[in-house]
Amino acid sequence: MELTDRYIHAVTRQLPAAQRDDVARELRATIEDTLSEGDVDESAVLQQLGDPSILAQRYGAKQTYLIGPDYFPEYRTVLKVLLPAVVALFAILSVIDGWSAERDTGDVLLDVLKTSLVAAGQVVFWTTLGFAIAERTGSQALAATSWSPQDLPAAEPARQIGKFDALAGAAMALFVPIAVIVVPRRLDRLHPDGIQFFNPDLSTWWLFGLIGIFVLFALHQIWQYTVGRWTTPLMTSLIVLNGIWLTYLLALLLGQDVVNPAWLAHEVPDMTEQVKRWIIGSVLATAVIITVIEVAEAVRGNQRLDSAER
Amino acid sequence: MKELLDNQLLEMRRGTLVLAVLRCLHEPMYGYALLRHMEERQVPVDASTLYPLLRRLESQGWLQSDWDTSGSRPRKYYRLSQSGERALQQLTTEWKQLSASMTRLLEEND
Repeated sequence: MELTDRYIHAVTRQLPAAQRDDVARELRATIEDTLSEGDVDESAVLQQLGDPSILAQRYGAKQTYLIGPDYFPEYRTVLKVLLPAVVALFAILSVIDGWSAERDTGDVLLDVLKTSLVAAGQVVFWTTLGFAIAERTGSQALAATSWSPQDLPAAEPARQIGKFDALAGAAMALFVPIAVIVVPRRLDRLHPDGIQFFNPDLSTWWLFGLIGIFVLFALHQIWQYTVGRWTTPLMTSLIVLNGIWLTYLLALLLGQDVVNPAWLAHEVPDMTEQVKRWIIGSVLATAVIITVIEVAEAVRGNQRLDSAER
Repeated sequence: MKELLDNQLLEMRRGTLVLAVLRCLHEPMYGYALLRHMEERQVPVDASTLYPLLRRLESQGWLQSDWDTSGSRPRKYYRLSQSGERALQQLTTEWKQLSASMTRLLEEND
C-alpha cells in the first residue's frame, strides 16, 4: 500500500489541516474497497482517481496560481508598458553616468547590462507581488460588487488621455527621483573639495518619501494609460496624491536646509538669505501651478464625461 | 468536433449530478457504495468528482455524515439533512418541468 500512502499524502498536504485526516480516511477506505472488489491493481485504481493536485483542487485546496484570469490581462499590460520603459531609462542613465565619469566603454556596457537586468528584475518582482496581493485580496471584492449597466464606460470619448502623454508622464515621474539621486552624485564627484551638494544632515527618509511619491505618480500615469479617460476614482486619487506631494515639498523646503550650506558658501558665496527664500518660493509656486493645472484637467475631463453620459 | 461534443455531454451530466446524488442519498450510503449504486443505474460518476462533491454538499448543509467504524474499514456514511430533503424536492420538480419542456421542444414538428 505504499503507493496509496503516497497518493493520499500528495492530495491531503494541499488541503486545510482541519480536513486532512477525514479526507485521508475516506480516500483510503475507497481505494481499499475498489481493490478488494475486482482484479484491479493499486496503480490502476490510483490512475483512475487522477492527478492528486486536481483532486485536491476539487476538494477546495488553496489556489495554486499566482495571478489568475481576472488579473492576467492587466498584469500583462502593465509589464508590457513598464518593463521597456524602466529598463531603457536605467540603461540610458547608466550610459550617461559611465561616460561622464570617463570610464572604459567595456565597463560602461557591462554596467548597462547589469543595471538593466536589475531594473527588469525589480519591475517584474514588484508588479507580480502587487498583482498577487490583488489576486488574494481583491478578487472576492470584485466578484461581490454587483454589476449594473451604469458601469459601462461611455462609448463616445474612448480615449481622453493620450497613450503617449500617459507613458511619457510615467517615464517623467520615474525620472525625477533618479535625477535627484544621480545628478548630485555627479556634482559631488566633480567637486574639487569634495563638498556634498545635499545637506548631509538631511534624513534619508526624505529620499525614500520622494521615491515613494514619484513611484505612486508613475503608477497613477499607468492607471491613466489603462483607463484612458478621466473617472472619479482617477481624479480623486490624483488630487490626494498631489496633496501629499505638496505637503511633502512644503515640509521639506521650509523645515530644513536641503542644499548643503557649505556647498552654497563655496559655490555661490554672495547668495543672500532673501535670494534663497525667493528660490524656495518659486520652486513651491511652480509645484503649486503644475498641480493646479493637472488637477483642473482631471476635474474637467471627469465633468465632461459625466455630462456626455447624461 | 468529437471533443466539443464530449465537453457538451460532460456539461449536461454535470448539471444533473447534484440531483442524482441527492436522490440516491435518500437512504444513507458511504462513498464507494454510492459510486457503485449510481453506476448500476447508468448514472456513472468519477470517484474524483463524487468525493469532493459529497464534501461540498455537506459543507453547504444539504448532507450530513457519520463515521461508522464498526466494520472492517471505517466508512463515512452520508445522508440528506432537512434542507437537503427540501432541495431534493424542489430540484425534482424543476427537473420534471425542464425535462417535459425539453421533450416537447425536441419533438416539435416543423
